Parts: sequence; structure tokens; C-alpha cells
Amino acid sequence: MNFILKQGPFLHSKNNKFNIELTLLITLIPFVIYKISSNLINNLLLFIIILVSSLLTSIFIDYIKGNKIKIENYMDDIIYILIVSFIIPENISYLFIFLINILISIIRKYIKFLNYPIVIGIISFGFLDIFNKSIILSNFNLYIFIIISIITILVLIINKSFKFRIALAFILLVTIGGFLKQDFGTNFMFLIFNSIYIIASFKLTPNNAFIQILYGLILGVVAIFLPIFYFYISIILISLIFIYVDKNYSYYLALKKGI
Amino acid sequence: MVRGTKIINNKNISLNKSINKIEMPDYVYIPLVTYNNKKCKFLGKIGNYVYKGEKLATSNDKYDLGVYSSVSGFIRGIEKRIFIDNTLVDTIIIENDFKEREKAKKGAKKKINNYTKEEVITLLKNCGVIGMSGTGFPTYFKYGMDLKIKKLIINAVEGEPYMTADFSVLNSYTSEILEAIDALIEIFKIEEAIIVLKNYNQKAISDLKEYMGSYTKIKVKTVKDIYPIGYEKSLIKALFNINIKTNPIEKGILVNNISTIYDIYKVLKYQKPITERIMTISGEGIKKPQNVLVKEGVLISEIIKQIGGYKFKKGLLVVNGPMIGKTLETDNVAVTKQVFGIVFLKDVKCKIEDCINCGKCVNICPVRISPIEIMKNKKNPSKLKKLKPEKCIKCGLCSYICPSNINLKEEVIESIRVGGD
Repeated sequence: MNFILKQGPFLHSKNNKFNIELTLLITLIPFVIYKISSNLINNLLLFIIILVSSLLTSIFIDYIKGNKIKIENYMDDIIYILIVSFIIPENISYLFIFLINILISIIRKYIKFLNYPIVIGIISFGFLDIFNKSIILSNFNLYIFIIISIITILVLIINKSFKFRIALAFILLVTIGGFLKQDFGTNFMFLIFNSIYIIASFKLTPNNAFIQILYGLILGVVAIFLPIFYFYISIILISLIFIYVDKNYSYYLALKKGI
Repeated sequence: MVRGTKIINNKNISLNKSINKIEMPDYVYIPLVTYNNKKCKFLGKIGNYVYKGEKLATSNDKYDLGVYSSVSGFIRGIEKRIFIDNTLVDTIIIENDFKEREKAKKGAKKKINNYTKEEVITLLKNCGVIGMSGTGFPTYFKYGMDLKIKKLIINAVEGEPYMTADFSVLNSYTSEILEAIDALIEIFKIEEAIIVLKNYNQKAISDLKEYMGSYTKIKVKTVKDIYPIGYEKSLIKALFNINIKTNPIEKGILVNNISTIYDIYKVLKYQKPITERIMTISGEGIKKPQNVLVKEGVLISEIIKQIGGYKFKKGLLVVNGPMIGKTLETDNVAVTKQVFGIVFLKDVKCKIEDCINCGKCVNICPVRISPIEIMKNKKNPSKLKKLKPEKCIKCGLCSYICPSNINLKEEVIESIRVGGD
């Protein structure tokens, strides 16, 4: 008999990193299909350009570095591609998209801090502010979007693939804001999408449940009162502050005695 | 709210099967250690004859625990053997004469409530009754703390995956357990006793409820099927929503494992030391998973041989369950009363990846520490001090839940060691 010595525990949850990323990826597909279907030729072409430019650059860099090329190593890239495909403005130069995505992929490979929420934040900020382009779809249907969003949120909550407390706190405040402003249009849609994939993503967000709720609420307030293109800069700054707060909250919880 | 999550339990493979008694081997191996791996002083002589239940050694510490012979026979020697924690410890080898001779035979007591408090405490001490949930904490110490016991909690939760020994004890000895609880209530003037089970254990719940009319001070309560709700303080929080910061007995609450209660019954009834226990032998690598009654000192190899052997030749032999247990390098190891189960599992390789900052470990930790922060600050003593890794109860839930397969439990244990240096 061969008895292997190993450190326990010897059971693991099936909800591993690959499954989490796969769930995120699957939930993004309806959004992308919806976008492509709204302007088939143009948006399909945009999607292919983003896919080819980002993924091939990433694979090429790994090939040069001698890294193993496995699908699970590119989940982050695919999620990035799907998010960008949804939020990218429709009337933009294909060549520009192609080149900017190659550049972003190179930067992302070497600066790990620039994970997709930050990059997407910067891109969106850039597009909105510099190019003054609209991210919103030409044939936007709020009801279809809300249905896709609700299904997505439920799937992500069941599979525990995002920080749902942040998303729910944020959506709550943004919805209240929507009622107060009597505005449930395209901005609202855009904020909901952000809450799911960017501000509630695992990356650069607080970990303690209470701090997550606070973070979601504060971002909700910011989203209501600030113009949308300043919102992205706020996410990065507020998340950095909240990560610091979160660490100190961990010290506070550890000090508490008992359960 | 009590923190925890529903985990894979795999209990059905050994559940609801009758308890199989393991035949006595030619030799038994009694390790000279007691609670907290405290070494014991050998009291006898090599070559001497020993009776079943005879005290062989004493711990010589504040707990003053004994080590008892589980068979009658001759002491053939003392040698260093691998113990259940993989360390080498002095072990007494007894050649079994299969006569089961006892030094002084006492008849069974008709009424087990006919004792004083002091007599019970002395009996529990002299008969080596310990916590059967793996800790091995001396039971007499809990009852002898000279504090009023208001509530007696009988923990039948058995949270560890694969383990069904406590279920089988409860299902097989329901009336004996209730008799023992009733006696404890009367002797220690306890206000009420609560048997706590997980809500899916319907057979035991209905069996117990049949008796409830005769035992008015005993209640049955169920808790959610989450891990590690069986941890003493979590259980108290789940039952009474109170946060216990020190020893529960200071709040008048005494928690005993269901198997410990059954041992108390045997001690009150027969006044003999406890030298055997019911344990689970399970896992996908065991041909016939089941619960067995085993004498202390029997080798694991002997137990598994008697129940049909292993299914495969390479795997993880885990003592005391896959969440809190440890692997053994050999099955040539003697079981003790602290072993509530043995599982043989496939070695599933998990790729360890970088932390994705999901925060799952932080929000699930039952004692509210931050395993990932502890890991990141392992080499930063000032931050480590603030993160209190010593609060860890080693339940393993952080490692179980981690999507990146980081063994956070070991990282926390390592940081406790680093902090202590």
C-alpha cells in the first residue's frame, strides 16, 4: 500500500476559479448577442476585431515567454473581450479599436495591477470623455436589457461568481436615484451593467461583507450625483480607499472575542 | 448569525448500517499519551500480567488522566511506534490472552442516577471518560468545575464529512443515552438538556420524540446543515443566539458529544474504564464502509482487513475526517479513543492558483479572522498580531471554499508558528 502524506482539508468546493470565470463568461454572452443583434454587421465586425486583437496578442506574448497555452489561462482575456464588446461605441474606427486593443493586451500582460475592471474603466472614460461618443446602443430596449440583467444577477448569485452584496447595494441606490430623477434610460442600463461586471467583480474590491455593502452604497451615491464619465475615476479612487478600510475592519473583527 | 456553509458530506455510504464489532487481535498497542499529546508515566512492569481496564499509565499533569488496557494479557514491551499524529511515541505492547479478565467484577447498576456529584466526577476520572469528538478533553474536568450547570447540550451534529459514528450511536443506543442524560440532570440538578441534531437526521429525531413524554427536561432541537456548526461556540450561538467569549461552562452551559454521553452511561452502569469506541471507517477507497466497535490499541490495518480491505493501493489515509483530520504514512498505527473515524480517499490533485480576491474565506470564517490577510502578512509580525491567527479553530473551511485551492488553513497554522517564534 502507498499512503500519501498531505496537508488537509482533503475536500474542496467545486466552485473553483475556472467555474467562476466560466459563469461570468456565460452570463456575458446574452449581452453581447443582444448588442450584435441590434446592429448586426457593424457590431459583429467590432466583436471579431476585439476578439482577434486581444486574444491573439495575449497568446502570442505567452508563446514568446514559453508559457503553456491553455484555455483556463485566457478566461480573464475572454471576459475582458466580452465586456468591451458590449460597452464599445458603435461608430468608431475599426483600425483604432484593433490597435488600442493590442496595446492594452500588451500592457495587461506585464502590469498585473491593470486587471479588466480598471482597464475597462479607463477605456470607457476615454471613449466618453475624449471622443465624446455614446456607449449606448442605437436600438436600445430597456425591458430586454432588464430581463437579461435580472437573469444574469440570479445566475451569478447562485454560482457565487461576483460580490453580490456590492452589486445589490449599488443597484438599490441607483434605482432609488432613477426614481428621484425620473430617469430609467440608457444611463441606468449602463450603471447596472457596471455594477455586475466591474464594481462587484472580485478584483480591487473590499472583502468583508459589511464593507462591501458600504462600498456599493457609496458608489451608488456617486453614480447618482456625478456625471457618468467621472464615475469611473471615482470607482478606482473609492475602491483604493475601501481596500484600506477593509483591511482595518479585518483587524477590528479579529479583535472581537467569541463567534 | 452563525457562519458556515453546506459542504459535501458523503455520509450516506456508511449511514444506517449496523455496528460491526472488530474481533480482538493477538496484540494491542497502547500509546503512552493522553489529552494534548501529553506523555504518560508507565506504572507497570514489562512481563507483568494486566487485566482488562487496568490502569497502565498516568499523565502526571493537572488533568491526571489514565491510560487503560483494552484487553487482558501480558505486557511484552514498550517501543516507539507511530502515533495518530505521525510522531513516534512510547507504546505498550500487550499480548492478548482472549480471556477478557477484569480485576474486580462489578455488577450492572439498576439505577444509574443513584450517585452523588462527587462520585460521578470521580468515576468519570477513574474510568478515563474523554470528549469523543476528537479533542480528548477530560469529561470529569468539565463536570468538576464547581460551577452551576444550567443547560446540558448534547452535540449529535457530527459535521465532519463521511463520519456517521455519532449517528449510529444515537440510533442504536437511544434509550441508554436518554437514561444517562436523565441521570446527569438529576445528579447535577441541571435545568434542561438539549439534544442537537442536524435537520436532515429525521430517523433519530422521530426516535427521540417517541421517548420525550418520559423525559420532560430533555428537548430535541435541530440546527441547519452547515459546517462547522458542531463547533461548541457555534452550536451555542445557533441555539441561544449568545456569543460565548470564554468557557461555556462559565455561562452555565456544558456541551458533551453524544458518544461521550454513551460512555457516561456505560461508566455509571458498569463502573468500568472506557477502552473501546464506535468509529466510522469510510471513503471511496474502503470496500465496505461502515461503523465499527473497536478496542483501543487495535491497528488500523487490522480493522480495515477485517471489514474487507481497501479498494485501491494508493491514496490518503485520513484520521478523524477529511476537514480536520491528518494523513498517516502507514496503517500500522493503533487507534485511540480520540479517533472517531478513518477515511481512505483518492489523492485528487488541485492546481493552486493566485488569490482572486473573492473574499469567500473572509466572510465564511466562523471566528471572523481574515485567512487571506494572515497569509499575505505572514512575514509582517506587527500586522499579524492585529489579525489574531491564534483564534483559528482549524476547521478547514477557508481552504475548502478557496476557488484558487490555496491551503489557507495551513497558512494560518504556519503564521501562528511564525508568530510564536
